[in-house]
Amino acid sequence: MSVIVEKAKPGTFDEDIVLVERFLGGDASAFEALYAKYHEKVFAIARGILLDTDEAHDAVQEVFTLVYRHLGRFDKRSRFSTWLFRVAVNRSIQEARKFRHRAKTVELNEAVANLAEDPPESHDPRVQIALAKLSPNDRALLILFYWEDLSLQDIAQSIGCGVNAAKTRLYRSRERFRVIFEDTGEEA
Amino acid sequence: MKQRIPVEIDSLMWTLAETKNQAAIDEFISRNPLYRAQLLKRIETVGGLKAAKVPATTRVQAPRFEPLKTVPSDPSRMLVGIGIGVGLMILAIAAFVLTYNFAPSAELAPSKKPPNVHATRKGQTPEQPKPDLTPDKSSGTVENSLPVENESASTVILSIRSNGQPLASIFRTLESLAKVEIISSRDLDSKIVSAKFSDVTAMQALETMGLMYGFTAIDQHNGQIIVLPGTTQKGSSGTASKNLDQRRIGG
Repeated sequence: MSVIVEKAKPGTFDEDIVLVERFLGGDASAFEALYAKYHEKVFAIARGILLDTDEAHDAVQEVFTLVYRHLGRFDKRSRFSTWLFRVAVNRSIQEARKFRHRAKTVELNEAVANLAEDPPESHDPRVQIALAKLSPNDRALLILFYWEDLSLQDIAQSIGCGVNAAKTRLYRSRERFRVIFEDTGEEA
Repeated sequence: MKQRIPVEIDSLMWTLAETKNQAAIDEFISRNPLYRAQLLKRIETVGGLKAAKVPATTRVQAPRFEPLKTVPSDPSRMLVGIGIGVGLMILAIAAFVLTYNFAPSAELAPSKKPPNVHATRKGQTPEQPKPDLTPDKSSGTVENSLPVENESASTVILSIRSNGQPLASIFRTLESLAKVEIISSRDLDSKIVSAKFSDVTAMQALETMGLMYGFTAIDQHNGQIIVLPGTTQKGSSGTASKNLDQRRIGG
C-alpha cells in the first residue's frame, strides 16, 4: 500500500486557543495576532491551490473574514491552525472550481509566466505546469503535505476525512503529479 | 510498454525519495539496479515539489486585515439549490402530464347523456353508479361505472333458450349476456314463459317476447332496459330518446 512518511506531530498545547479566547472575549487585537501569524501560510495554501497570486490574495481576505465572523463555531477539539487551514483549503478549492473553466483556457506558459514576479532561484517550471494540470483537491493535498509539512492527521482534519483516507488520497495525488511531471519532462 | 513496478518496490522508492537517506538509496540501487532510474525520478519529483514552495511564498507582506463586507457565497451550493428546484419542477410537471393524459378516461370524461330521471326503481336513485368490473368480452373494453352511453342491449348478439321459466329468470340471463340491467315489475317477473332465440340482440328478444306476453321494453341507452306491462300501438318497445324527442316536438 501507499507509503507516506508520517511527520512528527507538534506539541499538544495550542497557544492559539488563548488568542481565540481573548478575541471571543472582545479583544480585537488578538485576532490581529492570529492574522499576522497565519497570513503567510494561508496565502501559500491559497496560492498553491489557485495558482494565481491575485486570486490568492482575495481568497486570503475571504478566509480571514469567514474566520473572523465564525470563530465562535470553532469547537477547540482540533488545533486552531488545523481549523483555519480547513477553511482555507475549502475556500480555495471553491474559488478554483469557480475559475476552473477560465483556467483551462489559459495557456500553461502564461501560468508559468505569472510566476516571473517571484524569485526564479529554485523552482522548476515543470512543477508549476504539472500542478496546473492537477485538480484543486490534488493540489491541496500536495501543498499541505510538502509545503506546509502538515502531519497526516492534520491533513485529514484539514480536508475533512479520516487519516487512512487522507493517506490514500495523498498517495494518488502524488502519483498523478508524478505521471504529469515526468511526461512534461519528456515533452520538454 | 512501461514495466509495472511491484507495490513494495514502489512504496520503498517513495520512502527513499521522501527521506533522501543517501546510504539507504545506495543500498537500494545496489540491490535493485533495474529500478535506479525510477528511484531517481521519484527523488526528482519530490525535490521539485518541495522546492516549488519557495517562489510562491516569499515576499508576501500581510496587508492590514479589514473584514470584507460580504463574502461571495459558494456557487456550487447555489447550483445545487437551483438543480433541486428545477428537478422538483420537472417532477411536478411530469406528474401532472401523466395524471392528465394517462388516467382512466372514465374517471375524467363527463357523461355523454344528461341524467335520466325516468329510469327509477324502488330503493334506487336515478343514475346511481353501478360498479361493474367484469370486462366486456364483445368489445374488449372494461365497463365503467359511470352512466355513459351503453349500446350493448342492441349490439351484443346472443342466443337464449328457455322452456316454462319465470320471465325474471330470462331477464337475469339476458342481463348477464348483454351486460345490461333489466328493470321490470313484479307482476311480469312471475309470469311463466318459453323462449327460443338465436343470434339476436337483447332488445330484439325482449321486443319479440313483449309482443307474445304483453309487455313493452324500453332501452334507456345507459345500460338499463325498463320493462313495462302492456304494449303500445306501434309495438312492444320504445326508447327513452324517442320519447324525449316526442315530448320536445309536441312542446
